[in-house]
Amino acid sequence: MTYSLETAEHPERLRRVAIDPVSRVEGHGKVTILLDEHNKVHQVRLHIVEFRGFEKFIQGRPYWEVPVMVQRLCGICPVSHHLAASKAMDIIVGAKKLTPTAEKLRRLMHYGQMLQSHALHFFHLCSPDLLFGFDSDVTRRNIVGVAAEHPEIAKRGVLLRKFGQEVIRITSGKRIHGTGAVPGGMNKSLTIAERDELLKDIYQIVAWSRDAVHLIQKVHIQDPGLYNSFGIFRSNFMSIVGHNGDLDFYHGSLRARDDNGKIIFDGVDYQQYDKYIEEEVKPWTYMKFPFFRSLGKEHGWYKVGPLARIQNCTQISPLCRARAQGVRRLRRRLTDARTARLPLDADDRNAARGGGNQEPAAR
Amino acid sequence: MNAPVKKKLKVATTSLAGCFGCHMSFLDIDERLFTLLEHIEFDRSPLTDIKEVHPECDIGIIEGGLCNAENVHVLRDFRKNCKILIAIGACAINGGLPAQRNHLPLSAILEEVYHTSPGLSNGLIPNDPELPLPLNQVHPLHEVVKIDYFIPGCPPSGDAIWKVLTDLLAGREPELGHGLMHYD
Amino acid sequence: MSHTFTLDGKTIPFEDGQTIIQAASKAGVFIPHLCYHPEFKPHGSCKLCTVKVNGRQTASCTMRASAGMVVENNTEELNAERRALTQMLFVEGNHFCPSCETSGNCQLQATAYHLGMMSPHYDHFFPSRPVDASHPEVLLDFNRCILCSLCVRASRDVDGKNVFALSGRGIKTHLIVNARSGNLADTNFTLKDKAAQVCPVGVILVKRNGFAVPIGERRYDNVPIGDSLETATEGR
Repeated sequence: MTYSLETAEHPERLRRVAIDPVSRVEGHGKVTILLDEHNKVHQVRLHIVEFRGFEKFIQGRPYWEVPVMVQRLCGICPVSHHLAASKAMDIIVGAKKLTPTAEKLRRLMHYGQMLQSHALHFFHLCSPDLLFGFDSDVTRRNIVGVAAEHPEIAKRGVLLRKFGQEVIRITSGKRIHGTGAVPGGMNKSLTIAERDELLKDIYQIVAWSRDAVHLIQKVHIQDPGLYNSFGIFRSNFMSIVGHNGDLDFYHGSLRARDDNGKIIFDGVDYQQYDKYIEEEVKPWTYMKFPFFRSLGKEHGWYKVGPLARIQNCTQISPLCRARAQGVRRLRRRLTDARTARLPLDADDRNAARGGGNQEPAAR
Repeated sequence: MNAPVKKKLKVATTSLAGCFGCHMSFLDIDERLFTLLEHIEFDRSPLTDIKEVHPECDIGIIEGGLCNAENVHVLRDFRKNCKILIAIGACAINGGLPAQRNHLPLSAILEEVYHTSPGLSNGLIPNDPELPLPLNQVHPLHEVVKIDYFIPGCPPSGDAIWKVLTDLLAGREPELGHGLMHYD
Repeated sequence: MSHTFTLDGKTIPFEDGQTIIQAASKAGVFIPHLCYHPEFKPHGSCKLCTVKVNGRQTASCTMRASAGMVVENNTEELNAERRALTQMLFVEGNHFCPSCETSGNCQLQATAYHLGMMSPHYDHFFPSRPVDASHPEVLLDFNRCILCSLCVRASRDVDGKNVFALSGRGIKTHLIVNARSGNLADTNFTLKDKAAQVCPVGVILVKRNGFAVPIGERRYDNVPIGDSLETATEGR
């Protein structure tokens, strides 16, 4: 956890290389690299160049507008923002508990989000690197190239994403930027016809998702040296975990671990986040740098997102567990064994029984 | 899509002060993407690693409004290089949600977000030369360059995008009827 | 041929005293409009209902029908002018449909769809218009006001309260609340007032009620404005 490459001592003497814009990612960014005459790197920065000011301009608007507004932070993960804001507004209106149906619908909406966003990331954005290599021809290194050379893979990516988008449409009224969640509940029900429409394809979707895991395993085996070292760095983690530490995408408490897997804090009410997390501003990017107060800004930064969620939770559904085992074993090799969490690993036999036709992680 | 196409049309896309929702909606044409790819090829786009717009690009599709100086630069570059320029989505067409900051002084917004808001360990307004300067107000694209076609919506549906692109490929004037025309 | 006129070649009957738009509505012909409402005295200000009578433009909500008139309504020329007027309304206010709870139920938006408005064309004003959240039941979001004066007329003529008024002149015209403080809370306005029901856009809003109807089931999601005349003429 060092900042040795953040700021070079004499940037004016160095050569600048920029990756601008950063493409095939979810967001706006630019990378600048400063090198000396021997091509030694002295400074690398990821600049988030977009500033919009949602924090400020939502102030003074009616609160029921906020979930509809803030989802427009991101058209790739709008549901996550929509639900986070809706949950905040639930608290504002004093809706301590939603009806069971409303909560299930919100969860379903977020599962659609998880599916479409991960399909996008894996197939549309990353698969060209995995299938052709990072340095392959630039005209081929994209989803069009994948469609030309691996049409079946490209098609599955498109259809997996489509299913996720349809789940979102059915629960929120629109594939992108719908209005489903309102303070205290949902504005839309799931009709029997809509339910059946989703049920019709769900097992195919689960099977294709498993195939995607097999695909990444196959890719990994072809060049373990590369993938075991690429982009690996030790860090703290934070995510929400649900009841009993289960993997949860909708509700739970905050759990944080250090890079050895040791709990930093657990069971923290997310409404108290500001007691645990602080943010630093740096002059060269509009993104802020959150860190755990207890560890300070030098050592308190942490990973969030899918990997953090998997590393952090105590248990997940048997089907996912079987898949996650592979990923964790891999991670364990990569990160000196200790990062991988034990409760899951102690569960190998259960995992082996997993698979088959269980439902996905839905609860 | 019936017109005989010898050479694939080059299509460049970018997101300025947008959320990528319009790009996602483009992908919401689903399997029709593969049909489209028989007629077009992507140039500069968040979906490819091509960074410069080809000087003879056929169609430029721009999502997002103008919120900083670099947005304006990229827009002008697209206009210079694209024969047809399409503004897609509310932000490109009327500034969209980000334009809700327009009645506030920019300095007050930056001050609050980066200096005085709770939870900050330090306070400073990012000012590195690598960061494009924010504009005082967010503007739609047509206030700066000529836009040939507009696809309204936040985002427009995949069907609406499909309709406009197939109309253009077939040499028809694009038209959105009821159900495809949306501002939300 | 007495008591009929032609509208785009179609023969339309009328009764004495009826305006062109009244006779047309009764005959099932849609003339786009925003400030006209069948229950109120015409205002003639939005000009969207402009038609050509014997070759000359006039507002169909104020012009009485007379026998033998030749009226043009649904022509490319008139619709282009209506579109331009609508575009001006959009750029003069702050119409952020994506986050507006009236979206899908909004007469301005539906009319713009009907007229095929693909862009605002003009430069935006981006005016600063703070909301009035003082009233316990009703929120006023002036950003979306199109100065149709329906609330003014409803409050004055039906409710007998005179809660609203248009103030200022020309481009500076704006909707105000008749209270010393300027706040709705300091009037006797209630949710039951006619004025609370007539806003064709998203200015007068029932609090805590936004986004109650899902996308796909809103007023104009399935039936475009003009396809059902009841829809077209009764405000929200």
